[in-house]
Formats: sequence, structure tokens, C-alpha cells
Amino acid sequence: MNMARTGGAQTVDRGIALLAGRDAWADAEVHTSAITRTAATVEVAAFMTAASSIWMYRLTRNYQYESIAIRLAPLGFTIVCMLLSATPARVAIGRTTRTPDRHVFVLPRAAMALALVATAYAVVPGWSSLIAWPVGVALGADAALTSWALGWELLPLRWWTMFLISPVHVGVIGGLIGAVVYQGWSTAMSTGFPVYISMHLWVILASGTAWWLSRLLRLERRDQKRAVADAASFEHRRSAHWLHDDLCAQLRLVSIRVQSGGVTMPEVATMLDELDHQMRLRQLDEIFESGSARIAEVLQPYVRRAQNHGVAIDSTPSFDDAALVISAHDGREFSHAAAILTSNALNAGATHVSFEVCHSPGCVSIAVIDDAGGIPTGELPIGRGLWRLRHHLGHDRLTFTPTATGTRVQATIALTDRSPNDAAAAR
Amino acid sequence: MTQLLLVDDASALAELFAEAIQTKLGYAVAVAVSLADVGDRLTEIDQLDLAIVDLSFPQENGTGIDALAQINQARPAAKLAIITQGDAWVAHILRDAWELLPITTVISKSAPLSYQLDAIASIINTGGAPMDPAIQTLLPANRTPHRNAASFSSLVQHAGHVKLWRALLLARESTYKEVADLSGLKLNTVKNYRAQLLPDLTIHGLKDPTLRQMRDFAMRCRPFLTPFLEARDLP
Repeated sequence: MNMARTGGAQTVDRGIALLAGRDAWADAEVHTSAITRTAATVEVAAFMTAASSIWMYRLTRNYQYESIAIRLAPLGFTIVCMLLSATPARVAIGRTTRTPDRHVFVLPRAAMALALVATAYAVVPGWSSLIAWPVGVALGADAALTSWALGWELLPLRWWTMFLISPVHVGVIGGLIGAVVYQGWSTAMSTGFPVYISMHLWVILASGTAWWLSRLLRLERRDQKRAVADAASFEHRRSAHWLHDDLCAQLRLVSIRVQSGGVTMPEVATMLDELDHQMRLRQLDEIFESGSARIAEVLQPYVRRAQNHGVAIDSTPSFDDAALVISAHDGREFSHAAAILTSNALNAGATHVSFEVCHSPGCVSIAVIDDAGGIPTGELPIGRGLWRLRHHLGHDRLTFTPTATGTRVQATIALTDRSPNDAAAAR
Repeated sequence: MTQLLLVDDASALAELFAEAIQTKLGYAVAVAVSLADVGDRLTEIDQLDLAIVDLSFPQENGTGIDALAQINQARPAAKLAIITQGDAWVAHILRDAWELLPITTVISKSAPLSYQLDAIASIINTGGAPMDPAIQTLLPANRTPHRNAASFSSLVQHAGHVKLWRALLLARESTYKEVADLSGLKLNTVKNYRAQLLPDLTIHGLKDPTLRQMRDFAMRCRPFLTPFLEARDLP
């Protein structure tokens, strides 16, 4: 279904896309890598260098007979440079950007580009215009950043030849010939020709900058691919090791006990359920390794464990409560509390259990309510799970509330780091 | 005799589970171990009472939603249930299936066999069963209002949207450049069509989605999107 469009239409389309800039195309998926930040830094630095050069030129000249427009041109040039630097400056410091409608960007950026050219040539006429060369570097970096957001691989080495056959270049040549005809060779050489050369310099510098940045990006991607392959290889070896040491060993253990006789079918089922629980915990460890986990994922092994012990689950947390995403560290704390609270209910002989979760900024609580008749909570047996959990969380963070048939035990975990994916998970 | 259809790619497990249902509950069970088998099994069955479908088919280009939608279309009177591990990577599929199809209950694969059989018997006898507690945390208590198969029509307002969705279904990286190339649309047209669809995508839980998220959504909900794409294709 690859529907190719004509070369001319595609060139115009891409030209407009580049003019729209990175903000128009960047979304949450666009990765701000080190090279992206480098390109953004280069763009900001180039614009600032251009503005500085213009001011240095302006301040060393005497312009007392000039019009107000030309006197204000350096200020205009600086403002345009600053406006065009806003997006790359945000990228350089690693701040993500929103993606408003694209047409909002095309017209202002087109106007800014025109203002940039006009003010530059107004301040530095003739051969002096060459000092605005950093603008070419900035434009190259801007094009690179925009094309990366689009997923488009630039071919900047063609830009200069494309510029040569472009209507803009033909127009400039026409203007130059007109200047020679009407103003004479020497005037044309001192005013029009330097502008012409300066434009070529901008295009060449933009091409070179975009080519250099694209090459850096390719090198970075190659290194990333290699790092991903190494990580995958390491993970495969780790999984193989785990399959051998943990899973196969546990299965072998069950097999030997069955073969040695004296084990009833319900006991085999219990052993396999325990193995299933161990594998679920292992799965949870892998989820923690990813950096964050949803409360629903953390709680699931313990709900299943209670279910496999023949306990009726009266209620579980709502979708909204369980959709909270917490960091791996907080997830491990939550899992530790859930394990102890569930084991406590099961060991006490509960037949009905409810799980509750509530959270507020800075903390998340898990409560397990059982019908095991209640436990003496004044002095917890030293060294037991609940005693250790109380010491670990703090005295006030583990509470016992008697119910009609048993106990409600609640553990509160202080959140150290909320995952940035919270909103996405809460869909 | 009560007739069930079990759709699960774990063939050994599916056969054992089918045998347990037949032995303990006395229901006839047909088994499909791939999405492609579902059509064949449906032609072999005269009267289908309940279809129990797994969601994850990692070796196939589709999910349990495809099978559920196919069964629901072919046998609208049949009850539908989901059997799943309920892991995080099926959470979106589970939610889409739950909201878009008349799912009677969700059974956890790791629940005790007796619990699973009780749930199946309850669906046959009463028309429903409580959802497995281990799965309950993955689904909201109430289905999203206005989200149904018909709500996909607003995602295909004109032929341009057909091109966009078809390109997204084919895309690998889901960049603007790739989608523009695959669809033949201009870059800004892709952007504009995406912007046009944003209000209607919120019904489906997508708030300002990236192109990749739109692609994933299209892949998951393909059975509901495709009829509207094909309707727009017709002359």
C-alpha cells in the first residue's frame, strides 16, 4: 500500500513540514536522546553567536544617518533568534513539549524566518553579511531536529544542489542580473553579490551541520542497538540460569517427592500451587526490574495465593485504586506488606478475606480483612512477620482493627517516588 | 446437550480443561487452538451455548478479541466468557473486550479448577458469574458509556480516515513519515486527520494519543474498525 507521491509534491510537503518545526511533530514517543539535546544545544548556541556577532558589528559602526528601521534591526534580529531558540532550549534541558495544531506554527515560523533574513541583511550589508554565518548552522540543526521528530532521514548533501535549481536561487540570479544592468557592475558586486554568496554559505553550513548531526544520530543508534543486543543476551542467559536453577529444581523436587511415594494428590496440588506462587513472585520481580508497577500487578499473586488456599475473596480494590503506578522500590515495599498480611490471614485460618487499597499523595495503604477470629495485637511475637513489618514501616503505619468476625490489618507505605506513567496507566 | 467452545492456543492445557468440563459438568466442548480454527469449529457446531476465549495469541496476528467478535457475529445468542492469566500485557485487550462485547465473566487461568467450573456452570444456569477476584482490579466497575461497536463509525468520517487507519494497521514504526508514505497522504494531512479524530478517540480511552498508541488501538480493535473501513471503500 506504499503510495508514492510525485517528487515535487513531496519536496513541498517536506519543506512545509520542516518549516513547521519540531514542536509540530514531536509527541510523547519522540525520544530526547543525547544527540537530540546536542543538536538543540548547537542550534541555541548558533543563534546566540549570530546575535552576538550582529551586535558586535553594530556597536563598532557609526550609524547616525540611518533610518529607525535599520537602527532597530539588530534588536529585531535578536528577538527572532531568541524566539527560534525557545524550542531547542527546552529540548536541550530535557523538557518535553506539547503538540498543538501544526498550522499554528507554520505561519509564525515562516514570518520569523523572513524577519531573520531581512534583519540580518539590514544590519550587515555587503560582504559583512558573511558574519551572520552561524544562522546557517542553526538552520541545519533545526532541520535535523524536525526531521528526527518526523521519522524522516535527511539527505543534507543534496540540499546545495537542490538550492541551485530551486526557484529561490533562480530569483536571486535574476535580481543580481537586474542589479548589474540597472546599477552597474561595481554596485552589484558590492551589494547583491555578497548577499548571494552569503545565502550559499548559509545553505552549505546548514547542509554540513545537518549531515554531521545525522551522522552522530546514526552512530548513537548503532551503539544503542549494540547495547540492546548485549542486554537481551544477558537477559537470555539470566532466564536460562533461572529456568535451570529455580524452576527445573523445584519441578524436580515435586517429581522426586511424588516418585518416592507417601504423597497424596492434594499435597501434590499444594506443592504445585506453591510453585505457581513462587513463579508469580518471580514475574513480579521482573516487573519491578522494569522500573515501576501497577498496584493491581503487585497485589495479584497474593489474591491468587489466597484463592488457591480455598479462601473466598469477598472484595478486591477498585480499578481506580489498583491502577496507581508506583516505583519499583515502593512496589517492593507494598509487595512485602501484602505478603505478610496475606500469610497472616491464611495462617490464622481465614475462610473469607477482603483486600483494600487506598492512596493519598505520599502514601499507599493495603488492608487485609479476615474472618479468623481476631489476634492479640498488644505485643506482637518478636521476630514474626508482623513484628518485623511494624518495625520496618514504623509503629503507626501498621494498625489492627477488630471486626465482627476477625481483624482488619492495614499497612501504610510512604511513597518515595511516583512513576511518571501514572496517568497513562489510569486509563 | 449444552455445547461449549474453548479457544486457547495452549493446546495441551485446553484439551485437559475441555476434558474436565466434559467429565465434571457434562457439557460438550469443542476446542480451537488457533484463531483460524474458530470459523471451522463454528461450522461444526449446531447450537453454541457458551464460548470461552483466551486473549493472548502471541504466535498469531490477532488477539482473543478477533475470536470473540467472530463468535458474537456468527452466534449472537451464545454467551461469551474470557479465560486469561490477567497479566499486565493483556490488560488493554481485556478492557476493550469487556467494553465492546457482551462478556458474561472473566475467569482466571490460575484459579482453582473447582472455581473455574463453578463459574462456567453459573453462566450456563443463570446467564452470568462473578468475575474472578484476581482479574477484578484490571477492569472498572462500570463500562464506559457510549463505547460500543457503533461508536467506531465516528472514527471513519471520510475516505481520508480510511487511508490513515489502513496505514496505521500496516505501520511498523508509526512515525509521521511512515504513515504519510504508506497512506499517500501529505504529512500535514496526517496531522490534521489525527487532530480530527482526537475527540472521538477519548471515548475509547485515548487522550491525545501518539501515532503508535493509535496503531496499537487499531490493531486491538481491528474487528470493530474494519467494517467501517470496508464500508467507506465501497463505491
